[in-house]
Order: sequence, then C-alpha cells, then structure tokens
Amino acid sequence: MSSTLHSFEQAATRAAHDRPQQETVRTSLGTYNRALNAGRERFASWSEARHRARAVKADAVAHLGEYLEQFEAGITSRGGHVFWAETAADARDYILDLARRRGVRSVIKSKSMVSEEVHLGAALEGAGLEAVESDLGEFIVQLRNEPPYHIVTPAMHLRRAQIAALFQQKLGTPAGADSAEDLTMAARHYMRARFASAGMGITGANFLIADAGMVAITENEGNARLTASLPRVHVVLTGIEKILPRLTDLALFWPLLSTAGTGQAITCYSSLIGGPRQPGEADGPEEFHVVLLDNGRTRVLADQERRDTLQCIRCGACLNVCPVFHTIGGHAYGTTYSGPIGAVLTPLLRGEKEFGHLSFASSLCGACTEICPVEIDLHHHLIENRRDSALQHVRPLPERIGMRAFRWLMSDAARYARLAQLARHLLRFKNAWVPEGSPLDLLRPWTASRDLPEPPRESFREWWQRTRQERGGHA
Amino acid sequence: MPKGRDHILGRIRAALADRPPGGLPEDVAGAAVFAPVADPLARFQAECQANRTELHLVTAANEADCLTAVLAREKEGGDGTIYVQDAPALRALAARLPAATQTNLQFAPAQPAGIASLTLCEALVARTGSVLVSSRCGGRAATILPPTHIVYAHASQLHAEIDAALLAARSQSPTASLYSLITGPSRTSDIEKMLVLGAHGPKRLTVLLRTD
Repeated sequence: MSSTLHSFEQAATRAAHDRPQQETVRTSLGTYNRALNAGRERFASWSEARHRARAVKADAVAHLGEYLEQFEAGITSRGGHVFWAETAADARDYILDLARRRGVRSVIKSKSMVSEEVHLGAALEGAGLEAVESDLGEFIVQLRNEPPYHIVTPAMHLRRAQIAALFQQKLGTPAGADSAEDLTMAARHYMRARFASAGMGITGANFLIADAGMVAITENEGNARLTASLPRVHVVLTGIEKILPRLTDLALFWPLLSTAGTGQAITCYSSLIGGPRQPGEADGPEEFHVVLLDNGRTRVLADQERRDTLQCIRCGACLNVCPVFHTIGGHAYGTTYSGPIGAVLTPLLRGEKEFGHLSFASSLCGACTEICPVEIDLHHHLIENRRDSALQHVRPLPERIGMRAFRWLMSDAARYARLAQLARHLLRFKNAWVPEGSPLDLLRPWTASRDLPEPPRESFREWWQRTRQERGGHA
Repeated sequence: MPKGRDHILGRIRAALADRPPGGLPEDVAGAAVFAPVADPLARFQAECQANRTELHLVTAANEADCLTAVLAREKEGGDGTIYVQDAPALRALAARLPAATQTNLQFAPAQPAGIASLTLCEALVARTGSVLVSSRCGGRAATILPPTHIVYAHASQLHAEIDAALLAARSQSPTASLYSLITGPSRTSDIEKMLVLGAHGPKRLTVLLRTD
C-alpha cells in the first residue's frame, strides 16, 4: 500500500467521524445551494450557458499554443514579462530569483491555487521572506498552518469561535471581538500595514485573455486589487490552461464563474491587468511578470480522452455537490485540488501510482458532471482513471475473486435469478434469527456503517410471472 | 530563459496534432444565454440596490448639493481629505461645492490615503449594476484603497451588457494597464458564510449618475 493511500484512508476515516466539522461544512454548503439555485435563475438558460462555455473553453484548449502566444505578445507590448515554467521548481526559482534581484523582503499574496500547487509559500519563507496571504479565508488557514480546505472558500470548515480564538492568540484581538464583522475588520487592519510595506505582490489568475493580452482576476474582498496596486513588483502565477480567446467572452464567463462558485450574479471585483504602470498613470507597479505553469498540463493535453479537464475554471461547484467531499472534507485528499476535479486531475498531473486511489473514492453518482459549468465529464473520467489503474496494477485478491464471481453470476440469466432468490431468503433468515452485531452476523463489516434494506418477499421476476396471466386476461 | 517557452509550446503542438480543424461552432456562439435587459436604467437601479451600491440620480441643478451631502457624511469620521481624480469634469464640479468642502479636496497625483476618493468611470453595466473603472480613473489605488469610493458618471455611459462596456473602455482608454468591473462595496463571506462589507476595499460605493 502506498503511503499516500494509507494516509488518505486514515484521514478520510477520521474526517468521516468528525460530526462537528461536517455540520459546519454542511451549513455552509446549504447557504451555497440556496444562492446557486437563485443564481441560475438569472440566466435565460443555464444549460445553454454551460453548453456555450464548454464550446468556448474547448476551442481555447484546442488552440492553446496560438492563444498563449497572442496573450504573451499583449503583455510584452506593455513592458510586462512572461516566463514559461515547465515545472513547479522552475516557477519557484524564477519568483525567488526575482525577489532577490529586486531586494524584496516581504511579499503580499492574494489567493492562488497554483501557488499552493507549487508550494510557493514554503519556498518564500525558506528564502527568508515574509509572505502573508491577504484573502481572509487564506489568511485564517495560513495562521493555522494548514492548507486551504476548499479551492474557493478556504476556511469553510472552521466555526466563528475557532477563528476568534485564533485571532486572539495570533493577532491579539480583544476577547469580545468575535462577530464576523469584528474578525474581518481585525484582518483588514492587520493587512493594511502589510500591503503598504510589501515589495512584491503575488496573485493568481482566473482567465488569460488572448486577444486583449490581459490577465483576468476575480475576487470579492479587494485584496487582489491592492496586491496588484501597491507593491512595486506584481507577479501573476497561473496555469497555461486558463486561456479565454476573447475579451467579450467575459460577458459569459464572469457571471458563470461567480454563479457556480458562490451563487453571486458577479463577483465584487472583476479586474483585467495587462502590464505595469503605463506612462501617464498615477500609480501602479514598476514591474509586471506573468509566470505560466505547465507542471504536467501538457501531458493532460496529449490525453484526448481527458483533455477536457483543462477546461476547468476552478469554481469549486463539483466539490460543493459531492457526497464524498461532504463526508471526508477537503483535507483528507492530501492534494491541492480536492473533490471530483482533484480526484480526476491529480492522478493525471502527479501520477497514477501515488494518487490513483482518489479515483476510487467516489460513488459515481454524477452530481459533479451535472453541475460543472463547462460540462467536464467528471464521473466518466473517474471510471477511465480506474480502468487505467486496473490495467497498470494487479488489484487485491478479494477484489479479483469478487469480480470473477460477479462475471460468472451476471453471464447467465437463469443462474442470476436462482442465486438472487437464494440470497434474498438467506438475508431474510439472517435478519429474522441472527442478532445484529453478533459473531454470527457475517455481514457486520459491511452493515456497521451502512444500512441494508429489508429484502422484499417477492422479486420483480416473481411478481411478473405471477401477474402475467392476469394481465394477459385483460389484454 | 526561452528554453522553457520552446519546450512548452513544442509539447502543446505535439499534444494537439490530432485536433479537429476550425474554431467555435457558430450556432453555439450565437445562442441566447441571458434574457435581454429591457430598461437599462431601471435595471441598473434595481441591481445597485441588490448589491448595496448607493445610487443617486442627479441633474446639473442638484449634483453639487448631492455631492456636498455625501462628502459631509464622510467627514463625520474626522478631518480627512478626499482624493479627487484630476479631470476637467471633476474640477468643474468641485468648483461649485461650498468653500469649506473644497479645502478638503486633494487632486491627483497626491496619494489616495484619505477618507474617500472621487473618480470618473469608463462605463456602467445595467445587467449587474456595476461600475467599470480603469487605471486612467485617478490610478489603481484611487478606486480600491479609501474607505469610500464615489463615482461621478453620466447616463450615456450606461451599457446593458458587460461586453459592450468592456469594448467601450478599451476604445476610450486603449493603453490602460488595468480595468476593473466593480459591483458594490468590498465584501467577504469567509467566516461562516456571513456577509461583511468592507473586507479590504471600500466599505461604501456611491454613484452620482447624471441623467440630464
């Protein structure tokens, strides 16, 4: 058993029994669901919006090279720099080297999952730089020294009282200041000084607009705007797949992303940044750098079957509707991207060997595919990942025996009918005579955490046979 | 390091060797996603109310009085200055304010560290009740740093849709390094999904919209 699988099983089991945290997460997701349903009503046709968004992103992915070159030309025309990072280490080294050359001592960051992917925070601290997360949720998990719980709402697993205690301990906020408003204002106050002193601001990107040559950043708090305004160097760290062909595509993608992400009609600040301060502008950074990260994405691009996962706009909707995410939460995955998209993408980006098990941690209910605003066929990709895994590895003996027995059972209709009848009788007998949980209860390992419904007295086949004559009489 | 660029673009080309010809299918590009906005001004008003933007419809006759009242409320918190984008329209408007108010105004390029900023915008969007600004509207910090952001706009700047507003901004200010579509005051729901206004940006967004 690989160590990642082992720690996944342990963490998932622990999280599945953490009722208070599940309660917090479910309350939050309940609020999300109501907002999402209202949000979808604002579209004349939500399904048409998804359909069109898929077509636009599929086109963007199918012509990725051309669009990236177009984007790069726009950035460089305004005096910005574009760096193509093949690996996480390339991206980290470029940013650290830039910070060193510019004499940067402190860095302000705004939310970026790619910076989590390349472990930039640890690298900055390792180089002796102070790096502060400015998004409130990210700041909270940074103070707790843990990764984001969710790609859109990083601190959704925490209760207000926990955050109040954390702020008291780390920021010295007064004991009574524990309302959401008090805590937000404490973070605002703390962050203002950091914005003013930071030599470098690092943001992510939601979209890279090819025809405009600009980076689109979506946020509610204004921290990304400040990160891109006050420090003298602004670095955007993002993945190559974030391309959108046209500026006008944002008329669909901004509302689509915010609806799927939080249920909002549009996020508070939807910004486009194309370079450093231009001649005649009052302020803005002296330098502007865009780091485009591959880190396995071109490998996914070469996979025709699962290429559409590069359409992902990181809205987090598939996490929000996933029964597995509801139960085990965001940390158990042990990956930057969790939930269904993480379970599909992580084995492709980081290897089936270490992360293949994530594709098996799913009920394949398809809720993720149904909600995805760019129509990524998530649950079928989970099955494809499982197929690849089965082809590459010998499955455990009980599973192999089980699957063989299943094939034998299902390959003969009469055999299936006889054995299903027998199983039903045995189960009814067991339920009637064997006390639940006793040593004779052989199904206990399965039923300990699951409900098994009482089998009916009569199967559908039997009912069909019995009532056939009757129906024939009526005909 | 052009090596990384060549490698990545090379891998992209190799990966997409099988891609089908052509771009976006036309029927998809033309499909209706939103119902059209029937009355842009009415929609803008309704959306502003929903997203907590304070909207004042003004005319040449009452705009100075309206702005005076808005600025007087901002000054209640202390004797702070108000940062004003240095534009002819705002110079003219400021000249019509009471003398006491005028002394608190600081025109660009001073740093927008005061209690409020007053700027123009590139366009307004009816569908979402948004204000589109650029780095040419007094700079980047002017529209994000002060606790209150006041926007002076004209009804002729109102567009029904986001794409029309973006294209208008691009043609008015083609060299701007930043555009930002602002929808209401800064906010967060990161703590137990409870809405708090004024996370890192302005706590209040006020729009004075000239309708004549």
